[in-house]
Amino acid sequence: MSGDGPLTSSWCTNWGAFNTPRLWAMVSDEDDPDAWRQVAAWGEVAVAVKDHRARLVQARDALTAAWPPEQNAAAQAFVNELDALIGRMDIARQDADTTATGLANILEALRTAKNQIQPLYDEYRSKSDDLVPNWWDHAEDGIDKKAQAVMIAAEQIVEQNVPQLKVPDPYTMDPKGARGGFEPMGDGNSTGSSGTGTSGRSRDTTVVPVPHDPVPPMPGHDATVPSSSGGSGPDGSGPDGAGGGGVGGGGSSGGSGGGGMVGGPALAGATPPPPPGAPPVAPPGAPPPGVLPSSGPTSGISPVTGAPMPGLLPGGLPGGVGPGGVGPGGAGPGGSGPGGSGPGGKTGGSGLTGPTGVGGGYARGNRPAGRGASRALPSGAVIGETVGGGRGAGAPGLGGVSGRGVTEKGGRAGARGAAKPKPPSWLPEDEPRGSAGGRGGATTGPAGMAASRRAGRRDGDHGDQFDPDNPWEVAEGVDPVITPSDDNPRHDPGPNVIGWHG
Amino acid sequence: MGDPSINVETGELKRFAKDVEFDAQEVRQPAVGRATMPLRDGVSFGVKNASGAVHAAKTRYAESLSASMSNLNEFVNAAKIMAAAAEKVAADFDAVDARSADASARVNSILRAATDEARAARLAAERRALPPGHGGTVAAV
Repeated sequence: MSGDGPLTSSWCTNWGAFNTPRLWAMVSDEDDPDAWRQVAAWGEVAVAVKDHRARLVQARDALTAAWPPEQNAAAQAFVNELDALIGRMDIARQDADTTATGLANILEALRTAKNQIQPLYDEYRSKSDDLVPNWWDHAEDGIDKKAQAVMIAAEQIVEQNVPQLKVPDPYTMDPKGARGGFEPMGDGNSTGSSGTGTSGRSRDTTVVPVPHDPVPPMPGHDATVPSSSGGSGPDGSGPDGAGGGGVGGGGSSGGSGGGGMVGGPALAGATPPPPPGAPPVAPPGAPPPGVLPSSGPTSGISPVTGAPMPGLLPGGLPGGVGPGGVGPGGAGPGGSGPGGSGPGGKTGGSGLTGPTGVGGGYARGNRPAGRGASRALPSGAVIGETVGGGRGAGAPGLGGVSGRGVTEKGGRAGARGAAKPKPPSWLPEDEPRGSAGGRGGATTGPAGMAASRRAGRRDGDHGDQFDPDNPWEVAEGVDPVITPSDDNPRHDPGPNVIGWHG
Repeated sequence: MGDPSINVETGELKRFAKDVEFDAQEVRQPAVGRATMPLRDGVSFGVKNASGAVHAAKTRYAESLSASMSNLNEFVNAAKIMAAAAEKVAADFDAVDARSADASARVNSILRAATDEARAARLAAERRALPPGHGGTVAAV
């Protein structure tokens, strides 16, 4: 038995980067009948090899009875080769049985995960549709943790059964001692050029492709945990920021003003690059994380103006400005999008503090794409200011982030690109609102939800419905309820305020 | 034939050749083909799963499929080779003095010849099966 195949995973999955809808998307296609047919097929292979072996043993015994190898060197040479074949067939039979068992265990683990996550997904959907926003009751977060625990358990079972998948050494009949230039007697046609023998061994080698089209993590998160940060246990990769910064980093707390959730230490969009050799986390053809049709409290609609501000990062602002806070995660990589040609993309994410301080959840920074990713705030920058580093193109822009920023070239293009965001290919068709981007409507595509909601209104379906995840949303073109006063710019915060020299 | 070490029952060799050839060609090859039919679908789990363990399982399973299915074909081919070799050994021993000290070397040589012939025939068949202009090559490991 060779150890060619990998026995352990090459990376540690950061399950905290996946919410329930994403986890459901991972396992919803499992329990495939074709996969289970393969389990049965391995059993049939084992039986076929066993029968073949038995037939060869029977033929060998009959032959050796008439041509005893212990009395005849020629018979010994022949039987040796036959025994080698029989021995390999015996191993192959055992391997087929073992592989069938391992495959069945893996499929069962994935099926169990599917069956356990499905009700969680249904619950998540119901929570997403209720009147209580996630930032208030955190209901979706609890569901996410349960779903993540299910996946962790399934992953452990899978990992335990990987060695059960046997990779046999290649077998090629290669008689020994026939390469010495011996020319057998008899007619030359019967043996041909066998005396010299060819050193090459022909073997049909069919490469079986490995289908890998994983669901991408939530924007601003890494799908993997850096190897130095420990395992992928529930505590190591939880959604609360543990796990090597996979969660909580990347500006995950952007826009967490007021009562918004704070995701973690939030290194302002500094998302570590994927480990070398790690497979792509985004499927080819799938939109980048920032394009998720999310909706949530940190919608790009300004709570003040009710309209998306033009000052946008090209390709979307990581770390949106919530209705009540300034998103420090706004200093993310600046994304990339159709309008992302402007290397600056500076957006004044100054954010307008919500009148009541009730922040609208949190916005997760975009996952860095292309060059310019993983850039922290430059020296002298202000938290909340977004320094667009996006140079690449590709991510459709997500417009609608509020803020009085300076719009450079590309900003509006990003806004246009967000008019009708395409749902990612991995999402189920009945994806709950906001689930793609965050938890219960907490946005991850910071600007995307603004566009999606506005687009939804243009469709005229739910124009007047109250959105619990975005209580400050106003209709387009409607004056905001609260505006800053122009009469008296002087503000007296009262005594005992640091820095006040009144 | 007083020396038992050179006593060759070529009749049993011929029977071995006939039985094993028939079994491999008419029974085992179709059986392996039927058994492995579902396996030709390849890896059919965990496509969208981001788990590293699942990816490792898929990778290893793909290698297992590739190596196992190749070996199954090789087993059938090897049985055919053994049958062909047995037939040739029998014919050779019928034609010459089996008391030669080179008997074992001759058997090995015949096995080698049968192996090479089977390989050449298979390669030729594979070349014929390839469509014109196909960029692939027949593997020779």
